[in-house]
Amino acid sequence: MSTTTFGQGTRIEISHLTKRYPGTVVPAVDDVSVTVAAGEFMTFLGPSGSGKTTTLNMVAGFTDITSGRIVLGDEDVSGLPPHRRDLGMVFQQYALFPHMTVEQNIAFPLKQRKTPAAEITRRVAEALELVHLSEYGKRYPSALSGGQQQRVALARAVVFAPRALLLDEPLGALDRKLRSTLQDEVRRMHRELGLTFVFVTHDQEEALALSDRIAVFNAGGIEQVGTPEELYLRPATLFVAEFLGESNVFHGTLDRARRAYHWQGSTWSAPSAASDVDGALLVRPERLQLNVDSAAVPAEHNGLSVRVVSDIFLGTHHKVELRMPDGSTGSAMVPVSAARDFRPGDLVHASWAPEDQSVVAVPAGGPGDVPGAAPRDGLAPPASRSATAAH
Amino acid sequence: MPPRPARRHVPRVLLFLPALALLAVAFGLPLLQIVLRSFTDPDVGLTNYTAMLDDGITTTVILRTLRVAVTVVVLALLLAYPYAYVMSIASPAGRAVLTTLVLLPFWTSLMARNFAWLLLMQDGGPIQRFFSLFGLDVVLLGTTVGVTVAMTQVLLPFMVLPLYSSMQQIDRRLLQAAQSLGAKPRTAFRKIYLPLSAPGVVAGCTLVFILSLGFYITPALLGSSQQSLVAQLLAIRTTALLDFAGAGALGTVLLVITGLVLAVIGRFARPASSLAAATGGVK
Repeated sequence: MSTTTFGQGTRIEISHLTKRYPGTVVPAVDDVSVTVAAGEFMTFLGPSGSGKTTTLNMVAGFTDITSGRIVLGDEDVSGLPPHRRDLGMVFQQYALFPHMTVEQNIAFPLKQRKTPAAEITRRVAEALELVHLSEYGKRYPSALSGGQQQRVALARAVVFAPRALLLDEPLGALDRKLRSTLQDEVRRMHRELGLTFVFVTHDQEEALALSDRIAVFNAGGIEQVGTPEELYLRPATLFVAEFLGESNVFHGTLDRARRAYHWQGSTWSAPSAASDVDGALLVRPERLQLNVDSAAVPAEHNGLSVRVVSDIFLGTHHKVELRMPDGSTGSAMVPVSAARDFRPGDLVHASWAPEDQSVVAVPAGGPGDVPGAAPRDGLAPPASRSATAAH
Repeated sequence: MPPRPARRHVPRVLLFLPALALLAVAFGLPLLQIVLRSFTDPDVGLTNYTAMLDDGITTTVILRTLRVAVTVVVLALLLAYPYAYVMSIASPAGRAVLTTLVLLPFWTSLMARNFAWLLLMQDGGPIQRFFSLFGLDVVLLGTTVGVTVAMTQVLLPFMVLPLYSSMQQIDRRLLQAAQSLGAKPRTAFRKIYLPLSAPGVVAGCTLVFILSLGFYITPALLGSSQQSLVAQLLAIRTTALLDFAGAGALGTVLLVITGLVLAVIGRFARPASSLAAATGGVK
């Protein structure tokens, strides 16, 4: 399967994109700028109402732009109608044409482009092969399973060699097992086609598993753009940290001069980092070491004494719930090999290497607030946001 | 087969038995009697049918009725399609208003509506006065055109409602998908929306056509005896001439025509009805 058959990656440049719906004060998308490199797998990740889908719909041309620009390759497409943008699109509900067979569905974009019949036959066959559905060309979509339908939708969206493929929560309607199979399929297609992918999801695991880079959306803006590793290991904001996995959060103060972080009477070493902001200190649960004996704590570690609340065996590791001295809760993932029984009520030493911590900006709302509660938000209720951040 | 599911089927059959019995006694038997009588009264044979062919009026009236029915169907479809489309994309409040406007005629008596048309169409009535402003002399009362116009209005809800019900099942994202695949909005409508709304078109047209064939009040009030339709002819045969066998023959012919139309539509509409199931499955 050559990359020329199904198109080549095109760069997508989104600059200062804003969408304000009539009669609303808060813009749905507020001054978003991000560039997707040619052939890159970019994911827009965020809770519902964060502006990720609206941004995608503006790229696709379904939603008018209030201000800003979208450039595909060298062409400014900001004012073009969807049918002249040459972008493949995959929808959450498949959106296959029910009155056409699988083959007719896939041939549809080629017919719109007045492709010769012989070439249509050849390319439809190739596209069906790409998604391993060669046997299903004569069937109607209603005779296919959800996963098969979405694969037909993928084939249809790339058969005309689009400039990029836009995927709007394409796996959201599938059950868990099928979702992971289709994730593999999507990743394989990206590798084989070399096409630019823009993938929208609210599922952080999916984003981590698939993406070259992720743009984390919140309240109509982008919080951070980076590789999955960067976002997980070096989150720029508390929102990013809490949206991507769990964290132990300490709301203290950074002393830049002494490279120290003060929290509840503890003083920890804080080596300088690229983003040297004052804010909350975060430690991922799997970076936390628990020791009963304080002598066993490595000398260079930062640490504190915590109370064990519970110890849950999860197969690959133990999850130990902790109560911090200030009453807040935290957790540690302890490898089974290193685990011993921690009983509820035990006082243990929790420690971590200073390079495993990150200090992130906390929004103006004050300690304990997720950025969703920041003043510029107002779209999604805070309840739904914290629920998303929690899982 | 385990015996349990089989036992559960028994009460279900019983559920529609009363309706079936009523239909058999009040509809099936009389129908059979009418058909039988058309072949046996006064003599066994086809005399009633040959008489119909020879009288020079009946065939003309049947053809006229078919022509009027087809015209009414076409007019109603042209009026109802855009209306149902707007209904399907309107806001809930707008939809409520549009639905009420469609249903309003159902809440008024058919007689009242026909008399309203009578007043509008009469000599020197509002319609004539309106057209006379342009120097046109329009006579609608007592003409087939007048009957057609009024029948279209009366039967419009039967076209709008099936159309709307099939349109509101169409996933509008299909149109977005078509556009993202390179179809102009007009092409997307023609290639995607129109075929998917076909079940509603078929249902609406069938309903309006069949109702038009046997329509009585409107042609009786607004038409004329020179331009009468099948139902008027039937009424004359039964009430004035007391020619029950002849009326039975005419009724049988009407029934056969209706059956033929339904059979033809059924052949073409089969893929469309499986389509409706398919669109329902998308949601």
